[in-house]
Amino acid sequence: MNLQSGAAAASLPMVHALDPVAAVVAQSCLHLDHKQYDKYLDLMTDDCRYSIRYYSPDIGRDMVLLDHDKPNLANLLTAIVSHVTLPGRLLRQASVCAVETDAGGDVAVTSTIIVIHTDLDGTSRLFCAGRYQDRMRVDAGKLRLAAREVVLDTRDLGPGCHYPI
Amino acid sequence: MSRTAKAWETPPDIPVTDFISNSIYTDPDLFREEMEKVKRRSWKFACHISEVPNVNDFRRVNHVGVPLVVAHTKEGRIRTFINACSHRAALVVRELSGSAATWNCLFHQWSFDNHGRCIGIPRSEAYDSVGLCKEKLGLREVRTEVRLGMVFVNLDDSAPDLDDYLGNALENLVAVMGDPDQELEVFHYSKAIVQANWKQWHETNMDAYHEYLHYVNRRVAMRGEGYHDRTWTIYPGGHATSTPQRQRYENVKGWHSRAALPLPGLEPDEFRTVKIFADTNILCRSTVMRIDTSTPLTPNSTLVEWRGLGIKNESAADRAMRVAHHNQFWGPFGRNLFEDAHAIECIAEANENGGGQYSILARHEDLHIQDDALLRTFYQEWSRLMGRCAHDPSKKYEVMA
Repeated sequence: MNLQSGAAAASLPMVHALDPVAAVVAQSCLHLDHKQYDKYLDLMTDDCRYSIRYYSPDIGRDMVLLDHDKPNLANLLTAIVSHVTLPGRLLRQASVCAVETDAGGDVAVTSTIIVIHTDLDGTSRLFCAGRYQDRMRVDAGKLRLAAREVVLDTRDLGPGCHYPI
Repeated sequence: MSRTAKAWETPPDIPVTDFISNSIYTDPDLFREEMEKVKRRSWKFACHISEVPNVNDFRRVNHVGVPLVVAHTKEGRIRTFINACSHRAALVVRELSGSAATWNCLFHQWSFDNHGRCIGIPRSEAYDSVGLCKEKLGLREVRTEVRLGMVFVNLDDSAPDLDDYLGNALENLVAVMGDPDQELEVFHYSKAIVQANWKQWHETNMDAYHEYLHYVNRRVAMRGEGYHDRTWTIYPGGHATSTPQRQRYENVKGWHSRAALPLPGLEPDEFRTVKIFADTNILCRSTVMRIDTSTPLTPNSTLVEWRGLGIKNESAADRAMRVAHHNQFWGPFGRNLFEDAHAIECIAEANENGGGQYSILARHEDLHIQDDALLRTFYQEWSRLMGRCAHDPSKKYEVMA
């Protein structure tokens, strides 16, 4: 097993034992952790919108930190390799907390999320904490993300990062 | 060839103004001294007027580790106080921002108004025997001035006036920030503790040569028209601005020209920047502005604050566009910000225990954009205020003719 790439771990069948909603959330974390961006994007409907937000008590405003449709998110992900990026790895740990189905059949899913950064020396630190607020629907025979809003509690993100959360 | 220890420790054989000793980033005694001689005596950008837009609004800020509160009084003045109770120095204002005409200290319920007056002391008669009364126990006021919507503070009551301090350094911002019909307001605020010296953050803002670091700058700026023809204008006191440039945002896949809705006074796609000594940087990228400033915490850690500004009362669609443009470069998930912050953390890590001896500031390009003149000017001003040479801080600085 190649532990360095994480590819083997990402392909473990574990997620298939989860319910479909939890499986989408878990796979989204694993694919981003392992920088498998094509697989990550495949979890999304074509009209999916991704955003990162937090409320700033400093200026008393809701703030948008990243907001993309799927094509522009794909552009962003494709270009990451051209940047000087955060060394080490991110590990996203999500726990599904609430699942509700609306009249149109979409599923609203709230998960808590913490992201751990492990640096090149193997030291792990909390990078951020917050929630995923997802909307999911069945599209082309699979449950997919129709919208993901990452709402962060953490506002000091250090130098920041190029990766979605 | 590689260098021996002796060669490595020997100062570079170049003019002394063209290099600095890296000890000025790490020496704790120098750090304490520069807080006193450089930072506490300099005018500091504290916040933007739009952060306290209404009477009684307040905003907490920090300057050289001292907690301050900026207040908008009923007379329309912006005033600033040290945010510490006159009794036992607990924070009087604990919220980061808000609206209140009076503030109560949580500890013993002493109260103050936003003019800094002490207006209430529970059972104050117990202080009568030593002659203490409310009139003697107001908050410590901090000098405060507003220019082009930017609130500046100074902890030194004997420092020069702000206009003398700035000179003409804001002249390139008058059209952008001074239009009464298109006032700016802060829509983005983020802050982070970066593991590097405060000067290293400001160096990234004064050093255009480092644009090679940035994937998007290599495309947007360096492939823009006349990139290397731009020149710096350096003002007395260590401030600076550069000639503008039309940049090519469309050179990044999925990005587009910013020709629509430029900020007041800017041409479509124009980039403009102003540097204010000792720690404030203003960047205009056609549709959006960033102001950043820093607060030293230790020699090797710095609180950096970033603000993004758009036009007050603009439509939701226009604001969304400016927010998107802001976030392309800036904010914690912008394409540039990590690279700058990570770069200085790499420098700080190497320097922390003497891994670096000297930093070279020796690019001479007749003030063209990648000339190190700004860095040299910054350290000349730093040396003047410190009374020490930046290339060898053990030596007394003498003003050169």
